[in-house]
Amino acid sequence: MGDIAAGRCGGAALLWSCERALVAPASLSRQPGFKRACSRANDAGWPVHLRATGGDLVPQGPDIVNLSLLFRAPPGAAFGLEDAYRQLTSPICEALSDAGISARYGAVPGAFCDGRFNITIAGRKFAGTAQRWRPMADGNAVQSHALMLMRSLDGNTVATLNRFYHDCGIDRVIDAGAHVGLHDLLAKDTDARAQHRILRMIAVRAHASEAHAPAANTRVLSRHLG
Amino acid sequence: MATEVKVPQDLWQDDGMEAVITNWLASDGATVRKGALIAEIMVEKSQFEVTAPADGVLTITKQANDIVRKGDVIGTIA
Repeated sequence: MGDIAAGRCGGAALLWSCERALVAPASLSRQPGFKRACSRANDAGWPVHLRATGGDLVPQGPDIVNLSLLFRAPPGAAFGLEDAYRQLTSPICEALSDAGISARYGAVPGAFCDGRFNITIAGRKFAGTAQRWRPMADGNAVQSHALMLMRSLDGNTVATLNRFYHDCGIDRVIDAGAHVGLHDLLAKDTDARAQHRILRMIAVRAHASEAHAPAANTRVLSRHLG
Repeated sequence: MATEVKVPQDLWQDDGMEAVITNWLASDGATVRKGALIAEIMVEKSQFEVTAPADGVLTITKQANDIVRKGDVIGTIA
């Protein structure tokens, strides 16, 4: 994002995954129990990292695929927060639609890092979204991000999220049933190929939609896309 | 004459949406340079960086965790 703000890069679309971890917004680190929560999560095999986008605590791991768009937005009212969310979520919703899966937007009570611009399927959260905006001389550098679940949250993940909130002194409970993963929506005998195809469609569409990123560089992960 | 530090007017369309000041990165009374990152606000899970619009001494008028709307003045620089 610093490269975009400095004019060294036009934009990028990244499809990526990472090792198991918890990722928290910087604001959460000001909670009095945050250090203890981090220590306990780390001991349980969940290292904690801070991020610069807004939102709340999220899990990361091999069953999650992220789409990040980085680009320069023009100044003024021509391109705002809602536009950036549409630009981010359209490739995902279109790819799901092509696969026969109907997706909508909306908050889901009990979902982790809940928000109005979640992508939902049958009322359950499939993807969460967040952004970061940095002013530039002639507009803004924008990072938008979607976290997509390949599998529904397992018991260990839900317990880890809830224990973290409890240790931070935050009264919030995550419900496993509020989430749905791509794997759960596909026929068992074809899910690997179908998942590969859907992620490939998302990558291609995200790359094509980067209207504000002429130098976009879409990278994909071999683990998910072969 | 003081320069107002404002929540950007045109970053989102919905007039009803409220933001929260998540962090002041410069202290009340600090000398800041134009363009320096001085605050962060969050709305709809989107973090916006607020930069100083002028050189001078910062006076904070809205505190961290205060609710703000687009166009609100959150501080001044004189």
